[in-house]
Amino acid sequence: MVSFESFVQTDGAPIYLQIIRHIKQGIAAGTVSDGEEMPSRRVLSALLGVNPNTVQKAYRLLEEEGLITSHSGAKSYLSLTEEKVAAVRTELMEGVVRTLVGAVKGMGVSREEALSLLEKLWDEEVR
Amino acid sequence: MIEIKNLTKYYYSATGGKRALGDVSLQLPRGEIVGLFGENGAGKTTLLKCILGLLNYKGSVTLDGQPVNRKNIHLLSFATCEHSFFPTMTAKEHANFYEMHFPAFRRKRFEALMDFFELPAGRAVGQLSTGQKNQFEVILALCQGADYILMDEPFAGNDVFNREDFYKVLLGILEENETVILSTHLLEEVENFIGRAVLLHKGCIVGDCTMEQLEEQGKDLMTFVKETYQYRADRVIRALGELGGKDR
Amino acid sequence: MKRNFREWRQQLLPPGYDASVEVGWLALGGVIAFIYSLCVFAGELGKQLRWLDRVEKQPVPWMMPYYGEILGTALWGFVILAILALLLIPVHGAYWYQGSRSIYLMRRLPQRGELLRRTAGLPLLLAAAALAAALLLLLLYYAIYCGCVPAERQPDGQWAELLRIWFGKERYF
Repeated sequence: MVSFESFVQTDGAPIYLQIIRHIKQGIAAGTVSDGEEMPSRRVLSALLGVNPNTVQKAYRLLEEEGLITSHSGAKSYLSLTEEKVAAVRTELMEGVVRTLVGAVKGMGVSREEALSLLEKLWDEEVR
Repeated sequence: MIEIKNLTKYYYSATGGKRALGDVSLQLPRGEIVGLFGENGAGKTTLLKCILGLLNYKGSVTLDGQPVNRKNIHLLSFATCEHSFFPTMTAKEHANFYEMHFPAFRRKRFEALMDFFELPAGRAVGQLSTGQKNQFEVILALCQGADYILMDEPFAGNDVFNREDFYKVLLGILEENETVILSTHLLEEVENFIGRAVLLHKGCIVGDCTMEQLEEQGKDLMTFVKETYQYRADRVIRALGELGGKDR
Repeated sequence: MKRNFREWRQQLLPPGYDASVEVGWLALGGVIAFIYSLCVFAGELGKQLRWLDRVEKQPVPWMMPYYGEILGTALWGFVILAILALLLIPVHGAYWYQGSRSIYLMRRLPQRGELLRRTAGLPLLLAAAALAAALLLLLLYYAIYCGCVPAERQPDGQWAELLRIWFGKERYF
């Protein structure tokens, strides 16, 4: 069963996007795997305290992206392949880096400066 | 579906009449969670009481196409901050009383909710704390076996954790055909909980929008409410300006 | 048996309403009303019978006063009790507004008449009981009157006279 224990609601972004992001982060980090069961819509609705329509919307979009499949009886399961996992990783990564680049560019920092800073911080982070 | 058509309500007093609701029309299909918002005196309580037939009004209220009467009144339940339980009776006695009058009473749900909120079953409910009384009032409304559960500021006096618990429990237990109409001023708190927002202002509906529509417009509930009222405020200012112009 | 009666009585009362105190007072009132009626009726009847005894030897044909006159105020206690019982109706009606607004629940019950029954039921029953007790005593005392007074000393038209005394206007003139 896909866990939502670490799900923290943040202000700003619509909840259905936050739910989708939570699943995708799990996929990218490898904490969820192919064939794992999703909580039922009602349970997730109660767990997060959000309207069933919102949960339904998130599930629908995940289905459209092919990340989950719903069987008869309303149960939903993750449907992952290596390509899909890679695509999700890329998408998430791109999103983060794009935000970063935007912010750094906005401060008028040059590409070289940014790259060297990135390398320096990367090493510090590893240590 | 509850269908309200051209509902108008006046309160008469020695000093004259006051319009509480003016030509309200509204459709409330089954299975929705609707938030009813508005300033104090906007007419939220009056609207709920008119639906329940507790007040006289002009216009019509129908329940699945039928006027509200003794035959279908059991489809409506009501939790009010004024409380409608019997203060000298215990929770257990209330359950028996409800079961006697409402055959669809959900005893299992009742016991589960009593357990969850750790309410004493054998003590007169009038002796409970305000928060517990509110919880009990809402539990009764949820367990009557109604399709439309009307709530009027049910959590006045409960702390925030308590209320959050309630929203979650509600979402967990509500069935597809159960409808909740929740009148409250706790906008931000119920924002994610409700599926639709209806805004009342001075007895008229000034806004009616599903949360999905709001999301598509990238607005949160507070923005929607402020915009709606701002719009009214603008009109007032414009009207005042025009009036002033004529004078000069 | 007693438990059944209690449950049945509770159907005529607001849910959770404890009427044992008011029922107790009214029962005590009933006892007092009975003793009072007995004292008034027996006292007056005795007085008139003694008078009848004294005048019996004399040639004047002395008639006994009407039953209604002997009865006097004997049954008034029960009438007062009935009025007191009816005064409980507004008291029970106020219960729907005390500590909560249970009136909202009562008014949206599917059962028509439930609100009325639980507001006025017991007071009406008690009032009826008081009046029934009065009627019973009326007949009982009349039987005693007939038994104690020789037939030739009883005036005719007892019941017409009784109604005139109770409801007639002419006695004021």
